[in-house]
Amino acid sequence: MKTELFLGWGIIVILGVIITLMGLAMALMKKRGGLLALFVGLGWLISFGIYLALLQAGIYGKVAAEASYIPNIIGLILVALGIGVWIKIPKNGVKSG
Amino acid sequence: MSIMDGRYYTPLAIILAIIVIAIAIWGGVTFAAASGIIWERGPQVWSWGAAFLSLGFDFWRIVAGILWIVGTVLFIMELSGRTIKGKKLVKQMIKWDSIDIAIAALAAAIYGGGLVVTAGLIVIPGFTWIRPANMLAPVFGILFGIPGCIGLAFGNLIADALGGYLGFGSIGGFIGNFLLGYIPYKFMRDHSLRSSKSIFDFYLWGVLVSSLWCALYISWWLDVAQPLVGLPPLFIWGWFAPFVFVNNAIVTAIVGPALGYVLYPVVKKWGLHWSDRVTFAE
Repeated sequence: MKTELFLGWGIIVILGVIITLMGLAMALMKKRGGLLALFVGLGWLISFGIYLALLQAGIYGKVAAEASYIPNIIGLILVALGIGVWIKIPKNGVKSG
Repeated sequence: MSIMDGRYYTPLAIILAIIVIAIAIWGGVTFAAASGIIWERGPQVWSWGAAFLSLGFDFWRIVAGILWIVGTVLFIMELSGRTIKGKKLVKQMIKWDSIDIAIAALAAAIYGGGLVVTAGLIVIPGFTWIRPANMLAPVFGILFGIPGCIGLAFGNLIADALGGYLGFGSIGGFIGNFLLGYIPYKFMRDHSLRSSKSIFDFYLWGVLVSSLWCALYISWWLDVAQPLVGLPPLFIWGWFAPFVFVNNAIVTAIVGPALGYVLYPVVKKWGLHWSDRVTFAE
């Protein structure tokens, strides 16, 4: 099982944590852009979590050409989910505000 | 009579579209012909690589460095809730309510998922792959505005993580893909793609400028972060930068305007268009 992390991963995690905490603090103080910064920071950390999970499962970087289609299938599921959300929003959200 | 008059935009739009599509196809075809020998003989074997390298590393470092600084300032400015409108810096009110979050999420899921689907078509291992889903970036930018652009940035990050490309270079890819949607969103006047001016603007800002800006933004970051990233400057400026430009431009130039044309009325009717959701205050 390949568990070696990429070079500079610590900086990515620290950056994610700093942006998350900054965003949280700004959101609590009701500062402009706080909520967005919180999402950006959390998104960074979630992406790193996906990377770690795939790495631990031994399928990180094994896309199609290396006989593993799991990441590609996840991609297809994401596209379907995204389209589903797109169709769902107007029915549930916009009209009621 | 001014050249800016509407009737002049029809031939201008047609000429620009033909030129941009031809350039992108030429880049793609010449790349495909040389791709098998680039690793062995260097990026000079690709005519685009040779052309980029002929200008020298310093030229690209200065030009891309300026674009990197401007792009990063624009990104931080938009994140902080400010934007440039009519040559003035104004506050923009994005609610970031459940709708805006859902828009960012759907853009991230469709763009990221679409990118991952072709992640096996590797061009530079660990750095980039053939990405037809790039055509969604300018379209989501002009339809959804900032929430769409944030979604594009996350979509690229998710694709990096799922596809096996996550690394220190992903920081550049995050903002680079934000800019891919942001440039047409900000610089196009008419987002409907229902006039020759709108189509002209799409090819200029949504295909040419945004593709090049994104390519140079990420390349400059890879160059600066080279000790952590590991791609030599010869390959960054002679291969990565021209390839990312072609990769961004080719499908966008061919499919982008038609996709935007079809989606615009749907998004507008459903009240999801950025112009129906953002207010500005001085």
